[in-house]
Formats: sequence, C-alpha cells, structure tokens
Amino acid sequence: MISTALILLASLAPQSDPWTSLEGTTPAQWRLVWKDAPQHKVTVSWSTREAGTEHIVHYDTVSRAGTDAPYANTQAAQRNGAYTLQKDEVGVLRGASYHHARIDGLEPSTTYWFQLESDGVRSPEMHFITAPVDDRAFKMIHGGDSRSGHAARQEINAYIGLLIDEEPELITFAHGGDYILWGELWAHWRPWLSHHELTTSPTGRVLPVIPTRGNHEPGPIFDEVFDDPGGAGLNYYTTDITPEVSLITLNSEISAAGDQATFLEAELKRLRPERTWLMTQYHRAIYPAVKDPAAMKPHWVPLFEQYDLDLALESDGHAVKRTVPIRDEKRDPTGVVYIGEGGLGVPQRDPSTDRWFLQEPGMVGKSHHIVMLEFTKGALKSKIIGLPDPNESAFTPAAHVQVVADGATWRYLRGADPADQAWRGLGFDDSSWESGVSGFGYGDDDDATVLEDMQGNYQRLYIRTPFEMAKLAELDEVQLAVRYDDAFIAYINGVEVTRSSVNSGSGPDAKEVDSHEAKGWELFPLGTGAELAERFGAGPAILAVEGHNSTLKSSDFSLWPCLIGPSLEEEPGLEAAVLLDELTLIPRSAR
Amino acid sequence: MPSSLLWCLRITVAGQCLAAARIALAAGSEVNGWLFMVAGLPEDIARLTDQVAAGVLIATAASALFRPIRALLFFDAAWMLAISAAIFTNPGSSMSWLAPLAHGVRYAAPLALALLVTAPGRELSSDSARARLAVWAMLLGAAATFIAHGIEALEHYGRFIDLIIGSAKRWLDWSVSQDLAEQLLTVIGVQDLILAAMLLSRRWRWVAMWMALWGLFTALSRMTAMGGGSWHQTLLRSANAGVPLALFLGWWQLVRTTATKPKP
Repeated sequence: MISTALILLASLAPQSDPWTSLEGTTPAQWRLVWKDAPQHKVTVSWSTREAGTEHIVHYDTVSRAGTDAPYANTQAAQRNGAYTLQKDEVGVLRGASYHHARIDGLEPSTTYWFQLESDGVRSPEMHFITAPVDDRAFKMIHGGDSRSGHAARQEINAYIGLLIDEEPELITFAHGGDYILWGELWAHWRPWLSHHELTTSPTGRVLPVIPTRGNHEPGPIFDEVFDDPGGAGLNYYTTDITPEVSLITLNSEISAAGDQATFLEAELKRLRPERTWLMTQYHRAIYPAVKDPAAMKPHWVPLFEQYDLDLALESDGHAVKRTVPIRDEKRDPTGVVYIGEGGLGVPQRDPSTDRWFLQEPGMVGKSHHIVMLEFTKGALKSKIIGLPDPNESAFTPAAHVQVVADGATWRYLRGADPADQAWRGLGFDDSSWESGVSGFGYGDDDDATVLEDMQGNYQRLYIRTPFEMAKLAELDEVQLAVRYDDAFIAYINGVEVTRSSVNSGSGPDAKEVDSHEAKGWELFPLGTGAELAERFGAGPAILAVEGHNSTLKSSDFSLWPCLIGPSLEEEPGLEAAVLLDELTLIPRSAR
Repeated sequence: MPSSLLWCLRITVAGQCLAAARIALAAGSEVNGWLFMVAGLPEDIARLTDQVAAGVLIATAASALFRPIRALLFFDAAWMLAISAAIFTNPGSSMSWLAPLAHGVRYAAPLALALLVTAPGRELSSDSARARLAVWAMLLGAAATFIAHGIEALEHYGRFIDLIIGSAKRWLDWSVSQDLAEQLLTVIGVQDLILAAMLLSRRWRWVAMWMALWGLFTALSRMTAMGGGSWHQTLLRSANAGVPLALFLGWWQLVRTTATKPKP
C-alpha cells in the first residue's frame, strides 16, 4: 500500500522520485503550518528552485480540480526569500527559495482545497481541514526525530499519508524536532522537505504541522522552512487547537529558565481554567528512556505540576516510552504523563528499562512510532503506534525481480588495469578474463570467488556481465544492489550509472577512495526500466563494475552486485502498524 | 616538583574520570552516540565501548589517587579528546563546534600528570622537557577552555543563562531576569577572554588563581542551578578549576622556570 501511495504521489510529478522535483518555479516541498488560531489561519509554504516573482495560493471550499472554474480566494505569499546556504555550500549546491502565504479568515472545521502557483506554474490541487471551534471529536499525531534513517523516514511519511485518508478526524501533526542532522545545512533540509511531501495523502490531503525546534536545528533555515513559529529564533508558542485543547510548543535549545519560563507560566495560568486538555511539546526529554534528563527539568517541571499539565510530548531519545503519571518525583495519579520519545526514522536505541518512571503502567521499548491522540467528549486516548523499520527487515535480492541475479557469473580482471575504457561497454572481448560467481573478495568469509592474492598486490577488480535490456524495460524501478568494501563505480554499456566512495576519477586514476565496510545490501536507484531502455537501447547490454580497495593492505575486499527490479512482495501498509501502548485519560475535573 | 601540584592534578583527574565513567554507564557517552549514529555500528558495540571505557576510567581514577599509571592517564586524555571529536562531528547544539576548545583542560589535566609523574624515589627536574611540555599543556588547555566559554557567554548561550537564573533562584531566592543574565554573561565573556589572554601573555600567577576560583564556581553552578543530581556534571568539570590551580601551585617551581618568558 505504501508503494501505491508513492506511485500516486509520483503521478502528480512526472519524474522517478515520488516527490516533486525542484526545477524552475514548479511549486514543490509544500507544507502547512499551524501556529495560533488554526480555526481561522494557516501558513501555506512551499519551495521553488528559481526565485520567481509571483507566488500565490488559490483556495476554495470546493474542489476545482479538473474544472476551469476559478478558486474563490487567492493569497499572495507575504514572505519570499532564498534558503540560507553555508559558505561551503555556495557553488556546490543549487539553492532554492521559500514562499509563505499566511491565510486568515478561514471557517472552522472546513475542508479547503488549494493550489500553489509560482509564476504561472501550478501544483496539484490539495486540501486540508481547519480546526474546530466546538468540542467535536478530533485526532492529532505527534512524532519526532527523522534526522537519519532516510529510507525509514520516507516509509513513515508515506504511512502518515495513508493514515490521513483513513482517519478523517485527524487534523494536525505536531512534530517534536530533529528533522535533520544539522539545521544550518540546506543540503540536509532539501531532502527532508522533499520527503515531507510524502505525508500528503493519496487523495491530496495535507496535515498542518505544529513544529518544534530540535537540538539538530540551529541556524536560520528552521524559521525559513516554518515561517518563524513563535518568533524567529524563539520558537515557543501556543496553539489553541480547539476551545478545549491547547498545545504549548517549547524550545529546549534556548534559555529554559528565562523569558520562556515566564511565558510558560503565564500560558499555563491563563489556559488551565479554560481548557480540558493542556499539553506541551518540546524536543529534549525531561523523563528520558535514553540519556540523562534534559537541563530544562528544574525550570519547567514545577510549572507543569503546579498547573496540572495533562501530557508532555517529548522526543530526542530515539526510543518509545510512556511514563507513569509523575508529581514530586514519584508516581502520582494526579501527575503529568510524558510520552515520546522520537521514532520518525532515526535508528532506535536500547532504552534504560529500569528507570522507575517507565515501569508499569508506563511502558518503554524501541520502535519507530507515532503517537495518536484522540480527543472525544470526556476522554483523551493516547495510542502509540509502532511502525516497521525497513532497515531491520532483511533485504534479499531474491525477493525482487532479478535482471542480473545474486550469484550470477561474471567475467573478471584482477591484478591489472584494462588498457582503456572499452571494457565497460558492448563489443569488448572479455574471453581472456577469468570467470567467476559473485561476490568477489577476500577477508570476510562470505565471498563466492575468493581473491586470495589481492591483499598487498592490487587494489582494483574489474567485472562485467551481459544482460537483456528488454527485461528491464517493463520494470517500474531498477536498482543496483551492492555489498561492497570499499568502493565501486558501475557502468551500463560504457556509461557510468552510479558510484560510491570513489570521489573522483576511475580505474587507476581514481582519487579519494573512502573506506567503507560491507554491512549488507545497499541500494542505488537507477530510474525506471523504460528510462534505461530509452537511454541505452532495448537490445543486449553490459553491466560493468570496478571495485576499489581504499588501501593496498586492507584486511578485506567485497564486490557483490546485482541488478534488480521491484519487490515481489507486497510492501507493508497500514496493516503493518502495531499498537504498542494505549492510555485513556479522563478530564481532571471528572477524576 | 611541588607535591601540592601533583595532588591537585591527581584529584582533578580522578574526579573527571569518575564523572565520565558515570555518564558512559548511565546515560551513554558522546562516543557511544557517534559510533551508533554516525559510524552505524550496532548498539551493542557502542555500549560495549562505553562499558570498557568506563572500566578503564574507574581504574584510572583509582590509579590517579594511589599510584598514577601513565598509560591510563593517556587513555583518559584520549577518551576526553574522542568525546570532543564526537561532539564536533555529530553536533547536538549550536555551540558544539567549540567542544574541542572548551574541553581543553580535560585533556590537559591527565596529559600534564602523565608527563609529571615519575617512578617512586625519582624526581623530575623542573626544567626538563617533560615538565616544560606539561606546563604548556596546562597553559594552553586552560586558555582554550576560557576562550571557548568566553565565546559562549558572549553569545548568551541559553544553558549559561539558565545556570545564572537557576542558581540565583535556588540559593538566594532572587528572580534574575533573562535580560540581566545576558548582561552578566557579556561581562563574564569579556572576563574569560581577558583571563585567557593574560594567562598566555602576561603570566601573572594570580590570574591562574582567579581562573581556578572561577572554574570552580562555574563547575559548581551545575549543581547550584540544577540540584545535587547533577554532581557528575560538576565533577566532569573538575579540570576547569584543577588545571589553573595546578598552575598556581606550581608557579614558582615549574611555570616560572619553564615558561619561555617568565614573569615574576
């Protein structure tokens, strides 16, 4: 089902990636941001490669897709600018521009259909739902930490996209921070923003984000992405999701005891008498399952407890947990429950299971997850939904369409370099080369063709094998799956298609060969079969790979490639999610 | 060689080793995080690294107090360097880039002690190359730490603001505003930079003494602001005070005679 979502999204944008390519003024990387008054306001944000001049959101309460009827409303972006590039990114990376259209005057609990337009280029039509002004039931999700584990991040985003259509009452996504590895780098934000497109549902519904700044997001780009939530650099603010529910977003990366504590106390004092449910979200965990308690603890916890906060949503630890209710450093049914703590893609850590606040009826574990909060009359239900980790499911080429199979026979050249580049292509006579089964290598006890003489004598191995391009042409996606140590460059019909750990050059002229351990199969997308057939012709073809060791005396070497198509197994979808924890709270006034 | 200097370094190293061991065992070190998150090694290996390091650090602490062993002291210095490198390459805050400087005293203390310890019954000449190296390690380490903390203070680093506000509230019941804390940090930052410059250029003994007192005060602020549960954060910073104090204690016998431009 996730594949279905990805393909549907891909159909919105005609290229191999399942998100919109940043080209020209094509609107891409869209997101919606809720700050205050989500019943009436939303910030619609997107990116374009070129700065452009005119950036508009068209919106209406009815869909205009497939019709010539104009949208009833338009809002020009009030804020446009270039994402900040670091000095060492200038000239290396192509920059992009952000656009923020702040829309006001919306009707509550209403579906709005919208389309982005930059210099005449329009996005697909999408839609979102405004927050209610009454006490009707609704749902929200919370999650954090997607800075690494990009494959998992994409799958979780696609899962959220599917979930949106399954859950019409789901209206917002509170993000706990650590979106990326380092927030000062556009190189890190760019893929996150593209991957975030995957949270768009197959029907085009977009979930507004309530963003938190994490410890990996210093610098100005966070505010450029989310339009200064809570004020540039400050990023603490209150979102009154309904008249009954408020979420106070805090920033664990600035002073906790100063102005922010003053704000927190004022908000808690103001809101507690008025709200049935009062929650906070912030990044670093105060009652962590991993690491030591965050430094904000002595400044915030007394306020949480004084004003009877209901839930604190935490991230950062890369684990999953729900604490017992806590007051005065002990379990107390009137206390605050802390839920988190970060599983939107990052590898999960082994939590400290012996901490008193994680004992039953609390829980702790390790799993990618989101927290689903369901608000109904008289109850708040928290569900922690565990999601599969694609990195932990064992990849096998046999589970895919195999064009050049795992264990295929290859011609190989060792101990010398080819005279020229002809070896990479068709028409080269390789009859004088040796023949062997992949993988090739030594020193790690998993090689089918062992190169016992390689260590200390030569650093490179050249292999080639024929395949039928016609077998590729019908495949939706083609990938090179490789186990390698330390580096390789792959060619089809003499044209380089991918490389890893060789920074420049090839063959004996390869420069800066990095060390890389073969920890498992790694995948390198090559595009669709149709694209490859168009590029290389539909006839016979040659896959050629050169493998490099970083040093002559390296203790091991591996080169084990195969060419695969889509999975033969169904990708996990909504049914792959598991309920890890469920908690029902009743309002404090009814306890 | 003044025994007070050696004992100062021995206690300093023991303190920082115990704190680093506690962090590695209870919360996971930055090296653990780097191995798991950056190098992609299995968590078992990252945790085992912490456990082995903690064991060696505890042995180093005991050794520092009873009979310093040079190899263990070099390990302590290497571990502190590895932590700085892990923070620098896997940054987790806006000030992570300063870690290699900010931790200068943490490498300097075990390194200086390793250079200054001798076999029982033997005396190290105060003008030997080893003594000279030890002095330079401490001078540069202390200056680096104060420069980094000075920059952080001038940047009004949020954690430092909270140390001031938290300590004033907890111990004096004073409500210090963020604005006032930031003004104080500006003064503190300038002071830190001046102290570092004076230590390296003027070589005034009382500069080292003031740095030791200030280092002790700032290390203790972790506990005064956050409570006794943060004892390990204070102990981890024992070299903030211990290294300048060692310079002060060994000034006449060591620093004054080995410095290239000694000042009385």
